[in-house]
Amino acid sequence: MNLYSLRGLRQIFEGRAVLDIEVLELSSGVSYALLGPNGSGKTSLLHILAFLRPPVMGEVFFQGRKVDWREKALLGLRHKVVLVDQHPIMFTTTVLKNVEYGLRMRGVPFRERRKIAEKCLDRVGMWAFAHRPAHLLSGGETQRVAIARAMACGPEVMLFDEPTASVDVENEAVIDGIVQDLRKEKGISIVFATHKRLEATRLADERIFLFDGRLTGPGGENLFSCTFVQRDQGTVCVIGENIALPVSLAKSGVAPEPPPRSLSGPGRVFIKPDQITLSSIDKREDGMSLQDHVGEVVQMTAEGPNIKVLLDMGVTVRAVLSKEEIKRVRVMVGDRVRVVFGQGAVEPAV
Amino acid sequence: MDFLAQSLAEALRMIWSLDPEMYFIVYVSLYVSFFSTVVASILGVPLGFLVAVNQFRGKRAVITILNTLLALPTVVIGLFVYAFLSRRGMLGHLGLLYTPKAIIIGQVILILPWVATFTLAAVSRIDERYRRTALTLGAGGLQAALAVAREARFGILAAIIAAFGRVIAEIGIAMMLGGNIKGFTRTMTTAMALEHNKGEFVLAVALGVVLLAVSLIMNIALQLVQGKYGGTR
Repeated sequence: MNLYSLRGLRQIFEGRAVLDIEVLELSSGVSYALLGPNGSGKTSLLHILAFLRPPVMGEVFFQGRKVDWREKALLGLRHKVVLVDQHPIMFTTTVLKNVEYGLRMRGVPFRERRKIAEKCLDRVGMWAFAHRPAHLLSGGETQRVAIARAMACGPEVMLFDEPTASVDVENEAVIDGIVQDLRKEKGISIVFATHKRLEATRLADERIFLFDGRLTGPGGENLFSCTFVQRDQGTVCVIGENIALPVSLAKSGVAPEPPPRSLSGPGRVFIKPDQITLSSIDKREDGMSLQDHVGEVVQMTAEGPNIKVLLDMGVTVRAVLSKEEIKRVRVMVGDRVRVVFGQGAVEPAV
Repeated sequence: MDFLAQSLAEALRMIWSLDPEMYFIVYVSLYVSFFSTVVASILGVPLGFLVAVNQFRGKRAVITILNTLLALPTVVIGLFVYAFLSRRGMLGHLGLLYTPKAIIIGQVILILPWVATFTLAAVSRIDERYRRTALTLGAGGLQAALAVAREARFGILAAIIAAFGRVIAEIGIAMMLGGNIKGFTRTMTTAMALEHNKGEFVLAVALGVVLLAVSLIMNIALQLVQGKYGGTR
């Protein structure tokens, strides 16, 4: 049974459509990273998943049951799901009382409540702060207490809105560790929004990409604003200052509908990370073509059986190559390489 | 200037010697002000809170009316309530006119908009995240509202203290509805006005000193409460 099923979801905020999701299914016991740039609808989606704001249109199913958005019916659901804000807010009282809040709302007796709260505070390494005024903590400390406060509620699902966006490296490591443990030890389902791809790789089993409120599929990693220009060879998109790539107008699974034949002016394109190949810059096999560009390798990370390569080409482009391919080309971080985009690597995004 | 200094010295002596007449006047003042503040708070705090947290048609109109009522002159209220409480009035049979209760009714009307408006302002300033956090942590609607009210508590307390300061210092209502009856409805302000008319300054100055002292004590109390959690990051 799916944990969440979202159908035909639309959310409008201050007259602007911030979410438009056809179908989204989330499974139980899985950790999801919600990726996307600022304003892509990550927070709006989390608020719906946390039952804090009903969508304008569409249906949400939680654990197989359709969500009834009337306030009375939501209380039971909210007891199972808890959201940790990007900038959590602390009630103006002690740290311990903040952590106890959710338990108090659930009618847990004082002794038990205190025991659980102390355990949760200890888990996030904030036990020493238990009797301090919570609203005077630093950003990282606040984030940790907020996680303890959410953990104390004993939820089945924990949602995090950019948990490490505004904390230092030390706090980030601690928070990462806690999030990992939550899923592994307690089997809690996790959805966290982030724009740190490394964090997403480290903590998530699956990734969901959002752009402009829509699910974009894995191509969402390489989504760029561009200008479409018509040339002899066909439609070309110009990204940044020095990338011009032919656009494949064939219908694919990523783009929901075929774009109009003649594109021009500003728009967006996906570049499929698995259709990019690299080769040594001094090899000139058959001369440089329009498909070829030069980029600098800035980061390489393992991603399952593959290696993800971050290329600085004026804009940051992500390529996914097999380990064998990487060994064959012999690229290192810091190398300048020739970047070849395969036919059909570039598609217009709707 | 001499007579002022003399009056002040006499007044301090009067305060020091626990003059029963003077202290009864102070008692009546505190009594009516206390109860009018309590009643106005019981009505005004929830009113301000509800207007702040709910979105409804005509919300702006309600806020405008409340703000307008802030400027309601005490004599207008006095006249208005008098019309109801006088023997010919609708509530004349209750025999409330020229009693402390009549003063309380008038003063409640005076400060209810104050308490409501300042509560509204205090609650509106509270970050929306408090409510959201309470809800996601499992609070019900009422509990979440209480969590928000708790965050606004200093603002609300300040509203109540300001309202108390307003009623203890007002004279129009106390005079018109209380009638300045010695030993019954004579308050600090009505007594001061009377003593001034008589040209007797000693009691007036003594009451003035007490009035200021009450104000000072109220404000110190507010500072103390705020000091506990009032620090900033």
